[in-house]
Amino acid sequence: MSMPANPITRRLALPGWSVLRFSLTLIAGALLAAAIVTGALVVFWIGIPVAVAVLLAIRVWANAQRRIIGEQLGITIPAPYRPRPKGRFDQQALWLIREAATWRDFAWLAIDATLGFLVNLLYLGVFSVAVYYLVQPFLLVTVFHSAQTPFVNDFGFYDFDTPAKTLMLVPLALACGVAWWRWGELFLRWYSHLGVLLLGPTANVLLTARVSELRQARDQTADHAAAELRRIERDLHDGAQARIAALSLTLGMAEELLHHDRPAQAAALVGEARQACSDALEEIRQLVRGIHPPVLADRGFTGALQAMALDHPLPVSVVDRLVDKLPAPLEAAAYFATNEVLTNITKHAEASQVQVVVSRADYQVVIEVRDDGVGGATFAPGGGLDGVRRRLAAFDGTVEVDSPAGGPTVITMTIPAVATDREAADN
Amino acid sequence: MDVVLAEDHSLLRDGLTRMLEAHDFTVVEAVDNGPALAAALLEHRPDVAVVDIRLPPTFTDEGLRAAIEARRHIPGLPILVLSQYVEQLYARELLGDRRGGVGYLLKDRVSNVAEFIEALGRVAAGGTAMDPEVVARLLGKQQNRLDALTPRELEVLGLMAEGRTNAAIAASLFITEKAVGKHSANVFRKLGLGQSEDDNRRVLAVLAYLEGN
Repeated sequence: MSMPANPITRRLALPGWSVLRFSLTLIAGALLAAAIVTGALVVFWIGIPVAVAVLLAIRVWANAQRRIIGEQLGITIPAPYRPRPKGRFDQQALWLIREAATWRDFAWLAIDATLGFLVNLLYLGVFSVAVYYLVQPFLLVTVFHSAQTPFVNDFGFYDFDTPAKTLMLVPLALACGVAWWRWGELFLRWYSHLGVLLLGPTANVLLTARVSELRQARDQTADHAAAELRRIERDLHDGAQARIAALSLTLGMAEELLHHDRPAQAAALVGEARQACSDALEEIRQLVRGIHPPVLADRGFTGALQAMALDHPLPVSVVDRLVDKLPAPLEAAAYFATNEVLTNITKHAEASQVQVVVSRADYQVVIEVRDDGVGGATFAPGGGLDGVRRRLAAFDGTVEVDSPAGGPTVITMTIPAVATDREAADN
Repeated sequence: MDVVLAEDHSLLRDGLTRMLEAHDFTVVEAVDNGPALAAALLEHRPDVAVVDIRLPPTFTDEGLRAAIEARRHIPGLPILVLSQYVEQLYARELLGDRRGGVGYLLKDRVSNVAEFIEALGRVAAGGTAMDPEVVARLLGKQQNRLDALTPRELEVLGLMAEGRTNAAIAASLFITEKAVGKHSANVFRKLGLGQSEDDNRRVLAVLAYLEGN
C-alpha cells in the first residue's frame, strides 16, 4: 500500500489511511497499558520475560509505524536498532533495555496512544461531519420518508428533525469539508513528521554506523597496504635484487678473465651482464607501474586514462569531462580501479568495444565503463570487481554493476572528491 | 655532428657524453633541466638532440614537452627521446607532426652501443627510431587487421615500424635485402598502403597505419 502521487486521489485516500492509523493508536494504547503493568511486575522475576516480550511487541508496532509513515511522507525511515547480539537471554534483554531507540519507541508509543488517537479522531470526525450532513438531506428525501429518523440531529439546543431543517446544517458540513480538503493532509503530515523525529535514527546512531563503516574500510585499506608492501618486497627480492647479484657475479668473473688475458671470453660475459641488466630494469619497470604508473605522475588521471585506452587490446573510447586535476591519492585509486575494470573486460566480457566516461558532479567523480560484451558480471569474492570495490571503499567510493545476461555491461564507480584547492578558493 | 644532450643524472650525462664523443658526435651542450633544454635547442639548432623525458623542475614529462615545443619552432628538428618507460601515448604525440626525425627509446637500449648509435644516426637523417616495445604494443593492438600477414611479414613490419632500413632488416633477420623487399611489398599490398621508395616516408606510413583504428 502506498500513497497515490496525484494530490486529489491522495486526499481522497487519506481517510482510509487515517482509519488504519487510528486502529494502530488503539493497539498503541493496549501496548502502553501492557507495558505499564509489566513494568510494575519487573520487581518479581516473572515480570522480566514478559517485559521483554512487550518491548519486542512494541518494536514490531514501531516498525509498522515506520513503514506507514514512510509511505505517507515518501521517505524511508531506517530502523535505528543495533544488530541483535547472539547469546544468552539476559544479554539480549540487556541489549533491548540499553538501546536508546527502545525508549524513543516507547515515547512515540505514549504519544501515539494519546495525541495520535486525538489527531486521527479529529481528522476522521471533521471528515465524517462533512460527509454526513451533506448527504443527510438527500437521504431523508429519497430513502427515508419518515421524519422520525435514526439520524443524530438533536444538538440539545435545537433538533434538526425535518429534511428542511437538516438543510440548515449544510453550511456546517461545507465548512468541515473545506477544512478537511484544505488542511487535513497538512495536519496528518505534521503529526507524521513528529513521529519521524522519534522513530528515525538519531544523529548519534547514524554517526555510530558511519564510524563502524569507516573503521571497516580503514582496516581493509591497512590490510591491503600491508599486502602490497609484502608483494613489492618479495618482487624486489626475487626479481631485480637476485638479478643484480648475479650480474655482479658475472662482472667479477669477466674481470678475472681480463686479468688472465682472455678478452674474448670476458667480452661474452660482459654481454651477458648487459642482458641481465636490461632484464633487471624491465622487472623494476613492471614493479613501478604497479606502484604508481609514471604516466599518472606525468599527466594525471586524464592522461593516464588515454594511455590506458591506447594500450588496451580492444578499441576504448574515452569521454573525459573532468575539468580539474583530481587530488593525488584519488587519482591513483581511480586509475587502478579503472584499469582493473578494463582488464576484467578483456578476461571475461568477450566485448568488441568499450567506452569510458569520466565526469565530476557535486563533489563526486563518476567513472562509467560500458562494454558490449556478454554481461553477467558479478562481485565474485576475490574477483576483479570485488577488488575494485575494496580499493574504492578506502575513499568512500562505490561500485555499481549493471550487467544483464547477454550484456551490455555498465560499471559505474563513484568516488566522493573533496574540493581541490582552486575550488576551495573560489567558494 | 652536433648534439644537444639533456639528462639530469650526472653519471648518465657524463657517460652519454663520453659515448657520443667516442662516436664522432660533438656534444655542444649538455643540460640537466627542461627550460635549459628548450633554450639550448633553439640556440644551437643541433643536428640531433638526445633528451631524457623526465627532467627537473617538474620531474614529469618535461623533456617530451620541450622536444615537441622545439619542433614546433624548428619543424623536423631531429630529437631522440629516452625514457625509463615507453607509452604509446607519448609515441603518438612525438609522431604527431608526421615529419620524422624522431626517436623514442627505452633508456637501457643505450647499453647496446652500436644499435643506439645507428638509431641516433637514423634520427639525425630524418628517419625514425621507435622502441621495439612500442611497436610490439602497436602490433598487438592491431592483431585483427594484421591477420592476413605471414609470421615473416609480421616480423618485417615490426622492424619497419621501428624505423629500420631494408638493409638493417635484412641483417637482423639473416635474409637478403631482396627478400626483405619482397616481404615489404607483400605487407604494403595486403594492408592497402601506397608504396614509397623513400624509407622515411614508408616508416611513417606504417606507423600511421598501426596507430589508426
